[in-house]
Amino acid sequence: MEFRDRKALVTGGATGIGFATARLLVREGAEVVIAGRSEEAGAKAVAVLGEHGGRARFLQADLRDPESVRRLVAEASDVDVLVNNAGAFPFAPTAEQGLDAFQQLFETNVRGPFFLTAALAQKMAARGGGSIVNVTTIAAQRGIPGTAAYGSTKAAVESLTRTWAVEFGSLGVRVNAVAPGHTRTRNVVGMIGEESFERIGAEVPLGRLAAPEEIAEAILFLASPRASYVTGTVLTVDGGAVALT
Amino acid sequence: MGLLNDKVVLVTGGTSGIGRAAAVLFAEEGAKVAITGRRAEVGEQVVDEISKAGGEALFIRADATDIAGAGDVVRRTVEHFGRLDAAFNNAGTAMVGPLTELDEKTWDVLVDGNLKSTFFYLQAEAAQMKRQKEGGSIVLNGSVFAELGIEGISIYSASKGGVTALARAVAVELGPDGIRVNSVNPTVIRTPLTESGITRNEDGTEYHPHGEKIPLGRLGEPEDVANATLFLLSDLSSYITGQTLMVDGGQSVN
Repeated sequence: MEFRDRKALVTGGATGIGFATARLLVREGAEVVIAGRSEEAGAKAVAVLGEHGGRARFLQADLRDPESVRRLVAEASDVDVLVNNAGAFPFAPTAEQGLDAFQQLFETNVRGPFFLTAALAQKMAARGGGSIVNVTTIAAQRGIPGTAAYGSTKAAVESLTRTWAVEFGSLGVRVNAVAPGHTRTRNVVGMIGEESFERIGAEVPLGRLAAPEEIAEAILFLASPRASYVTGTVLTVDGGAVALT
Repeated sequence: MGLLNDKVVLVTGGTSGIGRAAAVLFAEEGAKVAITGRRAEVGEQVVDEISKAGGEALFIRADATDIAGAGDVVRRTVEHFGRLDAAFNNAGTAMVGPLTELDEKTWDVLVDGNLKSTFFYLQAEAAQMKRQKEGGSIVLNGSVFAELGIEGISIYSASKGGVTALARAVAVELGPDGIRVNSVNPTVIRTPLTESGITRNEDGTEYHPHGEKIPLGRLGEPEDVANATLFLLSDLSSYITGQTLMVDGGQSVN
């Protein structure tokens, strides 16, 4: 129960990696707030998280909307752990990237987490410390065709991870990132297709795709006291894909 | 339930500092631990400490730079505990000096002690894990100075750069066997190796010439590295391989 009496906020916590993370945090004793756009998905997730006495609630929020981010900060109140997991990932070849979609991507993946973190890190510091984990992607580190705009939003987040680690380090707030490789979530499988996704998994050194729980365990480690001397780092969880490319 | 329940773990250089803290932590987490070192008396003390806490440990007297001994250490671990699931190749050494004054002897001591021994232990461990056909996890002890330039430790930095490159390369090679290989890269950790270089600042905080500009505001403790290594050796990191985990209080990004 490493997170007993800890309060955590997981954005995009109703599905995929975010949900797996919320689930582990609840299991380890944390009180978890999950934020997301869909009330319906949120209610469903909270019902599962609440089984066996888990403490979880849902807050409707859209990171693209600065007013919504302000409201989330106020409603989530004091948290010890922030997992910046929510993100949009429409893929497109560079020549076909639409201007509006580009704008939206940076609003959701960079501007939203930026101002959410700015507000919550202050509150953590005032309470004596905390831990922030940003979820990025291996597309931020390697050239993967079709992920130009998406990968660059996450590269921005990895840069923020380093800057925030130095800015907030002396205040007791640690900031790290987890860069997942190919992870089996419904959204990604739906987008890429089961068959070609399996084929991608077979090509990484460990020869398979990640389960969302495997990404979540890395997020939990970085958020936990076990990583109390780790800050500013990007932990890549990719079955060796980046080592190979 | 521990994170390493029933796993057999080898820790080289397990008699002091980071290796000792790691061996004790791994045993607390349910592992059967084999430790190596040059000093039998201290090695047996660590075994006693682990046994008294209800754990299982074995000391194997070995100098990590004795390359021919690597296979023997793995063999004796397997003879005693039946198998080998994980290893922390931690043994290493440090020497300092300005570039123009470093000699070939220093090069040999550092590169043999940090890189050559790490490689040949890795080779022996991987061979055993491949025979078992059940995967495994190996963590190499690198250094933040594999990536961060600091005066007076050029050969040390190069030897540790070799260690992190080795983890990456071997991870790709052993991935298909389900054997994961990563490195932990600590900054200055309070150990018998570094203690003489630690002084007190006027404000009571500690100072080491290689431990400046650490955002978290303190030097590292052996337990910091032991905890990171525990995560990488455990099944919690089952999809992580070929990676470098910095345990440096943020020094490398400052």
